[in-house]
Amino acid sequence: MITLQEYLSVGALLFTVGLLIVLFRQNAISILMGIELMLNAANINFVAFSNALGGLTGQVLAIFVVVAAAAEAAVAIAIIVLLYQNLGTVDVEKARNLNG
Amino acid sequence: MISITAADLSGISPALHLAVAGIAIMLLDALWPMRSKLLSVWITLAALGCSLTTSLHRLTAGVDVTLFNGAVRMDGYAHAFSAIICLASTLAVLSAPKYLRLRGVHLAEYYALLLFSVCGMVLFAAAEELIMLFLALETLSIPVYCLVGFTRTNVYSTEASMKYFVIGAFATGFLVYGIALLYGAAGSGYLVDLRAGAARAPGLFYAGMTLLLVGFLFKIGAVPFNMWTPDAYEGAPTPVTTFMAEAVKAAPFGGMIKVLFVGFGFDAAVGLWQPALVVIAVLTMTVGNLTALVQTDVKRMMGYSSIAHSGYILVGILAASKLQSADALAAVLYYLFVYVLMNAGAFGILILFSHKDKDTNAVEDLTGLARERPWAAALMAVYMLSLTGLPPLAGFFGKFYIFSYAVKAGYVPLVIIAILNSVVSAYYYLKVIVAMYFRGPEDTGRAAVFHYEGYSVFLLAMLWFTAWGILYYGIHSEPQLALARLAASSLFATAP
Amino acid sequence: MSHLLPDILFYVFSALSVAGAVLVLVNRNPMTCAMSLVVSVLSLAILYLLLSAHFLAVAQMIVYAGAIVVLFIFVIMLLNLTDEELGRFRFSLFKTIGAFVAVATLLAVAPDIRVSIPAPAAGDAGAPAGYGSTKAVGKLLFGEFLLPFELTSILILSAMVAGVVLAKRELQPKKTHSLVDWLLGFFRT
Repeated sequence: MITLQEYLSVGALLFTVGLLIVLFRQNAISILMGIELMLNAANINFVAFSNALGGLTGQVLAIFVVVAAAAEAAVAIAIIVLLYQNLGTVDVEKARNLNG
Repeated sequence: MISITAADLSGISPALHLAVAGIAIMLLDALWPMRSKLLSVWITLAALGCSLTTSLHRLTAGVDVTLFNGAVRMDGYAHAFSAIICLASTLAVLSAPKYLRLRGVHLAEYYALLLFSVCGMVLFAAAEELIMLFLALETLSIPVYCLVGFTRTNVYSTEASMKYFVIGAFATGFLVYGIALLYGAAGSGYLVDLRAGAARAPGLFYAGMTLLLVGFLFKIGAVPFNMWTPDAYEGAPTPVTTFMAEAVKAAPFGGMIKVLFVGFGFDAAVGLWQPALVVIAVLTMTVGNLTALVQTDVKRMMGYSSIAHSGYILVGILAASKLQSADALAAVLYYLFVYVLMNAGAFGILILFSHKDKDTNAVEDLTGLARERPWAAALMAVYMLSLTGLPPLAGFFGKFYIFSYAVKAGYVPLVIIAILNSVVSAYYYLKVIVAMYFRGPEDTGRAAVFHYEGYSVFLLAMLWFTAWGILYYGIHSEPQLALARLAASSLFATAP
Repeated sequence: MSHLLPDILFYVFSALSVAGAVLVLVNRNPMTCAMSLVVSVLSLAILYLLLSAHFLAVAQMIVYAGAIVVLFIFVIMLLNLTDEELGRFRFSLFKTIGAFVAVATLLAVAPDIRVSIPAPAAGDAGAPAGYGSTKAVGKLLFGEFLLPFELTSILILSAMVAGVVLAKRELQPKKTHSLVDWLLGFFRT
């Protein structure tokens, strides 16, 4: 029998993998994918809780997160294209003009 | 079913003015592109002014309404934050037009994006529900990612935009995951219901609380979540840095204080987050100040200094939560108000001397300013001394109130560390003054020429207003404190 | 046997979803990364179906597979990025410590999360009729969550404006007559 615990574990695993991608990948596109995975991890939790609690609120919250993720992706893609035009790379480690 | 009442709309009018003005600017730019730039500046200022006066009026009138099925609550606290944020944004807008024209990117979209962002900020401090909080945070962040990269052909600007986006989106990831766990524990997203979650599923609740706080700490640039904040400050166009350093800095505190006091304000949770915040406050102050010492770029230095100021504000929040007193929280709000004035002014001077192709950012660039431009140097000195916290200026009173309440709350070691930090910070603020007053071109070996290239009437008004505010509201802080007390007590009325 | 089906589906698709995510982490080829992401998010959509979130499952497919990942692929092809450029990893002491702390915290917290909430109903059996349908979700969206819903319109508008400004805005308006100029012309002549 699948319980809430299993769904939460999937969420936690996805969140961890997303976190590792953001921390350890160098290129902006992969980082963006990692962020999308982190948001998806939150979504699976929302939906699982929604089901367990018997309401639909969690599903609505998940829809809002999907919308925000899409908006974020749109801006991020524009920034990545701009970065490539200006620096000729999408590698955030190579972008070191601001000695960070 | 679908029910928006007139009361709902009038209740959120501080946010509504801004959104409508933003859309109006977009339409204007589409219909009349040749004339839209200056008009949009005026529309923006009018909308911000409307929101500011509405908020102040409702704050003094004691309006306290819960709107849209409990999604937002426009009480004294929300109105006070709305007023601070609108003031901060007005100052940022005043500094923008000439600078953007010099860079050839004076577009109406700048003002529309800024207004959308401010709309999100106003709702952020008013949100009573976690998903509303999240959406407001996204609405305030996404336009700023774009504004940071607004000078499109500038390599630094683009890089800053990318780094700021990665940090911001990373923070969002933590925040959303935290919200999901809190929702699961409490079975509802409303802040007042969160308390029940700690009893039902403590593991979930505290995991969610930690993640949510990590998200907030990223947003306020607290150590160790501050990696790229100074990069973003340095690379962004200076008017955008102004906006980031004051409005984008103050707004997350609005949501954070509310979540801490209303959502996590019960004993078991307070016992966990208070010690954690003490450690983070110490780290934030110390790392921010020590790193600022070695900076040669004023914008970057101000970036680290803003991190340090986040630390001072955290001290104030800790004192307020320990004392459970509206007076102590009022000190935090007063500090934010003063902080907005000081920062806007300091960046304003940098904008005043920015050239067509190059910013005047290095401390060295200001060498000998006092001889050539005594007034500008005097203003900059006022801002720097106020940031240091010298007695008759508003910056001193801001720090003084926060630290005295912290002592009253028993955080004596924390206050000692904070005061030592203030002393350290004097070094890098005074470095600017020394460069302006006591060094000349003969010391740097190159002739410094100061032209008011970034001059505009808007900027001049902003500079004089901030300087006057720092001189006046320091000594006459009582009316401001009274307003802040009104705001703070309305928050404590809802806190458990 | 049929009562085992939801369990089997859960294990298959949750494994696929995590595997897709891990592939995004380790793979060097950007196109493969994007495709792994599609696998991951589509498997999640199946999990949503198992949790009887029908509308959300469809939205997930349309928005992620249909929009977001297409954008990713578009950019990868447009910029013509090479594998070696995209394949790099960065390791720094600070980040490694950060990741270690984060993962350790998650693992430490995981056993503590004893959920005192009843297990979800697998499949549609336990859910009331219409649960997760467009109608039910829509009612909530336009009722209790009306203000957040309206706020998303501002959010999307600002994202759209931001995207256009950054990627494609002409800095000087063309000297063509706009509608307002045309209308003003009547007064001038």
